Amino acid sequence: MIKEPRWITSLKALNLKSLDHRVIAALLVFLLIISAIALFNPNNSRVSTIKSYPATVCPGNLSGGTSTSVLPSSNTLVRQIPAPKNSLSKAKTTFYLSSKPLLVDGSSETSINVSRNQVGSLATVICAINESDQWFVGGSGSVVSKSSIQIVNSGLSTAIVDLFVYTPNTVSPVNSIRVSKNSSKQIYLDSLAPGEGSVVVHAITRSGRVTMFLHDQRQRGLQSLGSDFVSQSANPAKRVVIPAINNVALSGRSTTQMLRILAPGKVNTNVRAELVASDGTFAPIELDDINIKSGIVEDIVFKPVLGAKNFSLVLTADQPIVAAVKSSGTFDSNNEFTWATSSEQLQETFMHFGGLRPEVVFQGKNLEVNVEWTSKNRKVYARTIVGNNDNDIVTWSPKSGVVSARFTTKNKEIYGGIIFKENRGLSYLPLESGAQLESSAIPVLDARIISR
Amino acid sequence: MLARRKVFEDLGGLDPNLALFRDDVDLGWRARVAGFSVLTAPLAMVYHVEAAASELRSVDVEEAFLHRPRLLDRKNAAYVLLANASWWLLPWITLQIVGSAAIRAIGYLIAKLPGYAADEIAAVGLLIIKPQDLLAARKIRKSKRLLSPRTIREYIPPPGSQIRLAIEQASYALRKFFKTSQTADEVADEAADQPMSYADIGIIDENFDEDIVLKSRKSNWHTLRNRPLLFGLAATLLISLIASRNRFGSISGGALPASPGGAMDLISKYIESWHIIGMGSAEYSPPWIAILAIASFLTFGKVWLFITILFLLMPSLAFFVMYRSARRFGLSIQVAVIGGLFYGLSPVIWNSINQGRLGTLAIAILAPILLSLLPRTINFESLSWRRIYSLSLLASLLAAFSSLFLAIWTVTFIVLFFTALINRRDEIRSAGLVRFVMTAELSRIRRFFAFALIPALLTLPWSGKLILNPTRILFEPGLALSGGSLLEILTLNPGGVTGVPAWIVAPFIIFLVALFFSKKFPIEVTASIALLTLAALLSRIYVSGHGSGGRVWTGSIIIFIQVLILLPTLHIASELIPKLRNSKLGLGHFASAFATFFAILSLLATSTWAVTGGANSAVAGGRSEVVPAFIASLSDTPIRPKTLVIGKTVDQLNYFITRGSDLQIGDPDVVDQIPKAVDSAVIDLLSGAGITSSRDLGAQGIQYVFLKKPVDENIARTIDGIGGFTRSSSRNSGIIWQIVGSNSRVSVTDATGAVTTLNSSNIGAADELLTPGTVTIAEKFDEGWKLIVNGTSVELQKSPIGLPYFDVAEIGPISLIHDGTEHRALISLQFISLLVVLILALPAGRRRRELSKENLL
Repeated sequence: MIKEPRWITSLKALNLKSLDHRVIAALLVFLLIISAIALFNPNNSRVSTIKSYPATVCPGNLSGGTSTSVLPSSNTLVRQIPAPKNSLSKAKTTFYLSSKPLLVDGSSETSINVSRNQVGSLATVICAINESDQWFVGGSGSVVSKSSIQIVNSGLSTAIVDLFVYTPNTVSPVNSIRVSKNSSKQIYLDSLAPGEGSVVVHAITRSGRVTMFLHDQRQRGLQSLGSDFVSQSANPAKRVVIPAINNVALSGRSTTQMLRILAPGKVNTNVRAELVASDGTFAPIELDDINIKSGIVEDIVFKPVLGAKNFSLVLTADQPIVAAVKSSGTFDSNNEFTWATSSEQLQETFMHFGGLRPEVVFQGKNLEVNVEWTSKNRKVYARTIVGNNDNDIVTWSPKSGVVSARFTTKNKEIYGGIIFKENRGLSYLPLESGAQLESSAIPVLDARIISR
Repeated sequence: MLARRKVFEDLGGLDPNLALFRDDVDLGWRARVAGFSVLTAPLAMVYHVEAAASELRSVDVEEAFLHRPRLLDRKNAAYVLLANASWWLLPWITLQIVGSAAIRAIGYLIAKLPGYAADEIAAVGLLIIKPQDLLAARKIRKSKRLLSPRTIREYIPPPGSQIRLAIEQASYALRKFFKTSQTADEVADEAADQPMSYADIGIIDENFDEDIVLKSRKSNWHTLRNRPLLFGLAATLLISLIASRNRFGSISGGALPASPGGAMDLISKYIESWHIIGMGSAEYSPPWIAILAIASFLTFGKVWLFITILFLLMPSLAFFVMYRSARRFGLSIQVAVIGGLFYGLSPVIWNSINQGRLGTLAIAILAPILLSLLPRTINFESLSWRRIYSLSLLASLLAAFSSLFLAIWTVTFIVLFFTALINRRDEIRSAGLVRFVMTAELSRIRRFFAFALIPALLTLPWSGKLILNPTRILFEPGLALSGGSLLEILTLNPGGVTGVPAWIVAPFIIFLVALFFSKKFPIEVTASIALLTLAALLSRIYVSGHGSGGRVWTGSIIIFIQVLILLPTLHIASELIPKLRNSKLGLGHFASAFATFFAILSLLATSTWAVTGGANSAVAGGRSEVVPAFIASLSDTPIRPKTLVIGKTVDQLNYFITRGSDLQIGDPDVVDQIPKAVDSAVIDLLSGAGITSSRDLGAQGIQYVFLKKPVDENIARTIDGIGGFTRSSSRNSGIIWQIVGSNSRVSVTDATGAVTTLNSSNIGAADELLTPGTVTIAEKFDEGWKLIVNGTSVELQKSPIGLPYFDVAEIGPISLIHDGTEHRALISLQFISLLVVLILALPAGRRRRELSKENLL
């Protein structure tokens, strides 16, 4: 007879069959619950984020004509600045006429402000959020200028803004502007830079919720020389792209182009400009090699010989620069100009045009932009704008008015600009959102932060 | 007493008013003041059985009032004092007699001897209502008096003698306690070492002097070696001392907020109906706050000192209670000491210390006591009622520190109560419920009912709130910090920040496996597995409350599992060792050797970790204040501003509202939810989307925003840019903004919209209203707010943003209060219940006739 190993004998001695039934029941429940916990493994992460669009501000009437804010919906909440109450109320219209600046509740759709002076000159600008650092490349302090900066403080405390005005001669000492809570202040450029024809304004918000607009309006005697908003430029960079410059006025004559450029740093810089058009890419002789002195505003007039209606300008420099192009011409016997400013790279942008008919110019390598728009008859269309190897610029011109349009791209280094042409006016907007979707961690009530 | 006949006759003999008791003292006093010599023989031993006074012999007191010997004794004692004392001492002596009679009466009532208590009071009352006897007695004594009555002082023992005697007896009892398990020789040796008290001597025999022989003292090390209990205490204390090197001074951190100024602050926190924490709270404070306050009187009311000492002594205390429980369980001293070491140095104890888990530490002290006192079967009818009350009191103490324990305890006994009723449903059906309750034998059912009811009753009103908010059951005292992973819980390590690492596996889980196979303790094994299942389940739940949030901490459950496992394991081990010695080498030997080796290794690893890395715990001493002094200094001004504190951890943005001080002990337990309006305003502010954040926060009385270090520059820029926030200062501790146009705590808005600040105290306010208008309190709305203007109460209303306000039409003095009548009533009910249960739990005093002769001696 084979003898059992001792460990088997020991195990048998345990006599597991005699275990108490309560113990076995508890063990089974235990195993069941542990298995369930291990299987489902509840996620206890409590970090959550909130995404929201901050409120934007549209400018007041700076042209002396009309100022209309084009809003996404008549239910959009708005408040004039100043207003007796701090609360927002429904706009009740999508075309909000107001002489005062307007605070617009945050939305994914970017509102725009359309302004016309007394002779119908067109000026458009994006209703934007507050920014702490803004560059305005454009405007004039000369005798023909009625250019002004509107500083809107939509916050509930006093705001302080420092203005630095660059001219062809010098940079002005800092002008600290104090704006009371929930109010705005209009400052004419001829008071900041008297007699200076070329101006670049750098505004730094020291405190407060401040949004600024620069409206450039020229007038000689009673004759209007045109007007436009100078949109906020992209921050100083070594590569600056002005994506949409109009080259042919409605009267058929070519417009006059003037490049304004500033190297705000301490060092002089060399700039090379490359003109990108459907005709081809080249460097105009006037812009081939420009030497820019630091802190001095340079205006360079150039006359591109192009068949294309619109073109882009890509500036490269060895020091950070800011730049914009003023296109001026005659529109139905009226003088008009527009400031095409540099723009940031295209991100998803949802613009509300309210029925206007934009010409959207895209510039960049590997150009592929999806456009989804709603026409005036409320039909939704979609199209993918694709560039080709020869051309880095494509213009999208819808056949009729557009209520809203969403622009998306997966590629980097694509820039967009919008040109509005009317019978009596021309205007430009960089294709940028007035307010980016802000994503922030939701703060959580936690007394531990006041515990030692 | 011996006296010459002439002297006796000259003095007029014994006072006829003192037919029995105290007549001898009176005669001696009178003799001395009459100029006679009174001699005492203090070394003489006389046996006086005190048969009459001790009620061993029935006394003929038929003529005395109510025929009560004790009443007569007390009355005569007071009579002698009042009849013989000098006039100018009479008021003081009267006061002493009344005071001491009252104290003794209370003592007798607590000892459940109401007859004796009545004797004390009646004795004084009888003297007061019949002063003519006293006056006559004093007149007689005056005629014979030659010396001052104070000459008898030399016969009265000095005031300190009784205290000395009490200390001597307590010291003797303590020594006796630690020597209970020594051999007879050791006891004899050490008895000879100690000076003997009269309590020891008892009856003197002739050889008394000869017995006292001085013996040479042994070294301390020798003493320590021969006394395992002292060794265990010394070892745990030494380890704790080294491990606590960063925990001296006022400690805080982890789940433990800073200590308040004193014990009275905690008592106020317990009693007050409104707590100025966050946006205010009317929550009931948990009873552990009052217990901690009372315990802090041991350290002269300094709460921080008590907590520091508690944390320092915790391993030793845990060791000691487990040692006592093991001894009560019938284990030898050596085995009990080993059990104490496993328990006192277990991961759950260290984790609780390192994370500031005050509740778990209290449970760690009380749980072994409770479990060792509870019967091991559910045949509770054999328990005496005093035991029931004692156990309920102990369970209430545990419940005060752990709402989870209260819930489990109450539910268990409610289930047992109803099960017992269901089992007797036939009797109920036949007799009817009322008749059944009135006539049936219900000792078991009544006991279950008492167990279920008393802890819930003694923890009122806090326990009542738990029923309305059951999730609160999952919180322990202090801030809610997450416990450990599932694996850690399954190895009986509750985990958490700065806890014992998961790789140091506690031996208890091996003990549980051993118990499982031993089959000797099915109840303990079943309960342990059930509790472990509960712990694993709860540890995965995330709860928000107590001012923060985290996964449920299961330390208290693990404490109970450890106690349930440890005692039976040690019992089996002590039985197994002799068996293994006498058996052949087998699986049992290897399994035992492995378990022992693993347990020792785990103990050493835990201890080594505790004195090295474990010393850098979340709890530390001497930390500086979080809230800047600038804000703290404003907390006492009439405007009583609130400050929004924002801080960022690695992955989370947090905020809280302070009234100017750091979080203090007890605060997290009463934190109420922040109103939605405040929450939304803070979210809007920090996301940069809030146009009216400053207005919304300012309306809630929040006047400052403090961005705590390390400052997130993006948040600072957002606040700077949003408007309505003016940067006041930027310091090392963080950045402070003042909110433009914010309201003070109590303000009045008149018809023109002008806002005027009213003087506010911490909770209420008292000021002169100079204009009619709306009085608004920047606190969370609660029905308890009352405003009285010119003696008339004004109707309370709730504003759209959730603030309490009053429309006041007239001017005059105003008084704002938070009405805590209901709160105080419930606390009074709790106090009365506690007093009743305490008296019922205390041992009943024995009548003198029930005392043994030795005790009387």
